[in-house]
Amino acid sequence: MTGELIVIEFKNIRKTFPGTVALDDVSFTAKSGEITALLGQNGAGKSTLMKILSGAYQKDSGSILIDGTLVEIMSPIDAENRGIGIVYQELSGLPHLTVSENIVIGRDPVRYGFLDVKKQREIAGMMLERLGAKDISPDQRLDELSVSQQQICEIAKCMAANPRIVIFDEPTTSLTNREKEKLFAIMKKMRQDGLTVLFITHYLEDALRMSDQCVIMKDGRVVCSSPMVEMDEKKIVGHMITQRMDSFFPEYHSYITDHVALETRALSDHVVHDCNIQVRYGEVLGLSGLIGAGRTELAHLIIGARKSTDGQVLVDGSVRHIHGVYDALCCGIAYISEDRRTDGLNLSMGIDFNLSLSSLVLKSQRVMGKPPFVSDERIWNMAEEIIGALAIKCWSPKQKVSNLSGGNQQKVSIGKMIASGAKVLIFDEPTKGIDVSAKAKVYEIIRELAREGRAIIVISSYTPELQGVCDRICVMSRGRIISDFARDTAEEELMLAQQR
Amino acid sequence: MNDIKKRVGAAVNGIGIIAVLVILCLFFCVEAPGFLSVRNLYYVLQQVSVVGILVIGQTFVIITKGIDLSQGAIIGFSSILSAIMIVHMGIPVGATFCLIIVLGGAIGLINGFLVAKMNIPPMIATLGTTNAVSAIALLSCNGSNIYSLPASIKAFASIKLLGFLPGITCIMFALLILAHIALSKTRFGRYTYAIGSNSVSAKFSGIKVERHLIEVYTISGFVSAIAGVIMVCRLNSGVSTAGDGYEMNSIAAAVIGGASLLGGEGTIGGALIGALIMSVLSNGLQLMGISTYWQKLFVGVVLIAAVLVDNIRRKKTV
Repeated sequence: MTGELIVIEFKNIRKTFPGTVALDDVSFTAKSGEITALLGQNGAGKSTLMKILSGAYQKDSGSILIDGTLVEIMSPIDAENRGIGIVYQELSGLPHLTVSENIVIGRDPVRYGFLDVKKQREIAGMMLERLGAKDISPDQRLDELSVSQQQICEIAKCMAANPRIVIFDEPTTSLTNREKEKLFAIMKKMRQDGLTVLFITHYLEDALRMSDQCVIMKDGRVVCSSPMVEMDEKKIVGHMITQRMDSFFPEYHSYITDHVALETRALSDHVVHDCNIQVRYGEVLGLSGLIGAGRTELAHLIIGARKSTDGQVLVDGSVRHIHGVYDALCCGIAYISEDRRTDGLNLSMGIDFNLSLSSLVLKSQRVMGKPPFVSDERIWNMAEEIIGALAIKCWSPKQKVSNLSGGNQQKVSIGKMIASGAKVLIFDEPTKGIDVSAKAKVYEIIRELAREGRAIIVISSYTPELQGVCDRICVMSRGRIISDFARDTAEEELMLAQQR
Repeated sequence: MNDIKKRVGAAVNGIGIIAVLVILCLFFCVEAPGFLSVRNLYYVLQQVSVVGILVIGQTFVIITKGIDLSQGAIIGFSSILSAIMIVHMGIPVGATFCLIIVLGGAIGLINGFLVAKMNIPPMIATLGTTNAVSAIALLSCNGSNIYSLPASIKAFASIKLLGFLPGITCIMFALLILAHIALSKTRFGRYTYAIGSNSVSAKFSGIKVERHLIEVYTISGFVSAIAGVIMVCRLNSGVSTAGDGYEMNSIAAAVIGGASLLGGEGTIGGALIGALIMSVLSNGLQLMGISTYWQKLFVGVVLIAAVLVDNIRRKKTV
């Protein structure tokens, strides 16, 4: 360890988005030759803070000091010129270009007005060597590489700008254990070279192993900042957990019946391993876990959107062969996807059109007239009924879904599946990106559906949400169901289980 | 208030394209001698029939965010093959036509299979079949035309109802009405829009997307073959290049009629009006004695103007 110099200092940073305060009075420092872990739950503000540092967002107030001088970072290029590099969670390389082209992009070496290919390969080769990536050739196309090799190219690209401060935003999510070790070796080398490394991660084990300093954020504030040697998993989780806002959730009553609606037996593919779950009518089962734990994949296996390699799905106690969403709907299983804009809704179509789709697929009497005709009148009536029941704010059932707010769009996405009459509903991150009042309404809808006797699975990365709305919570990690918890289990215990 | 504005806006848009057609007709009534005659009306209707039938398939395909370039080639293929079957093989006319129409459907099925199951972009898949199908058409008669078809065929093409309505136009209207009902009143139509506006969401709603796409391309091949058969009757001969360029006319008609290549938008009524606008335009200009070279220019301008106006309208409503 070389340095004790303070390189970056955040002072009272504040950032608001319409309706929410993302960062409030954030202050901490990071030193050269150290790895600083930035920890916190989803939505705690880690990514927002890093986006401000890398110039993607502008802060509302507060100041950033680099080497003791006040700086204003106006754009990503500005950040790069000040020696700040960021390696994003998602791969952002251009797959059809070669490794060397990707590494120098934006700073392409030029000679006599033409691209200097020789120099370009030289730079790329040097960067890759520095990172110890002997298995990557500068002339390979990026899409010929494995995910981890592509990530190394991203790091090389970041290093080619010669940064003094490097941000890693959840770099290990898509890596295998061996690949992760490689990445950590690179991070250690950076530390030796005297760089300042900021490391965002959800894996506490990694943070504890790799970091010198630990900064924990919660609800847009820094709640703890201390040397890592003084911390352990329990202490960190203790800082991360939020107070449950019980008033926010509907009052709890159990509606669980004795009849098992959906059961999986040893369901597996290459991501999900040997999953056994059981949901009863009237029960809300939570699926908790970190991003990449295999929860969405499990849901897709159940509805046949992924092919299972092994295992069975049982509905009402008998084995059903589900080869696609249509089969799942016929068995009464509906899935409400995580990303409503890309795969949940037909944004350019009307609310009534969207609400009726799955019912049409099932030839429901509520939307069909005399076969083979659909009944516009019945669709209109059904749409009005659902709009009323779910409190969707709109001026007409014909209004385009793209003109609705996020929360109301989510209600349409949910309404479509409720209308289909499904008896098992799987909600994937049902409150992602929607405002507080819409969240409360979604929780109410979920409890109401349970009261009606439907079986429900809720996937969420936000633990308090699961505690508020579920009867029982299964924790998944690395594609396996780790354990089963009652709804009143402490948040701390659930979060520790996610780390296993 | 907003509600009323938007409704009026939508209605005006629907009227807009009809207004263009009406203005065009009024203009030619004044400027083009002989435009407003029964004989010319008969001629325009006969002329619009082929594109009017093609545009049915094209509209379905475009609404699913696809495109079918093979329509023209299927016309040529149907034309020459039916002539060969009738003249050289002596197969009865009715049986020949039925067989040809089924064959056209089969070509569409191949298009659909390539697009839906093999994931080939629609433009490339149908471009490939276009080349293959026209090659078969040219090879089957060494590139020459076949004349001396039975008299009954010519007689069919010149059937006239009420003194001005060609028989083949009646076939077009019948098909248009069927297609309109299918698109606006059945599950098939809803699925078509759903896939075009967001195919992933359609899949997660339980729609069998691949199967539906194959069906849509099959319809397009099927109506293309019907158009080919009509072309045989009109020309009273088998010509392997009879349909060249028609796919572009049907795409233009669908787009002028409000279909969006981005998917999820388009109607059969609009497509018919689009086809009529193109026919009236070329007929009127011809009567005015303007050369066919100029006609091409006008059609091009109308096509681009239609899409531009549509884009401006869209920006306003968002």
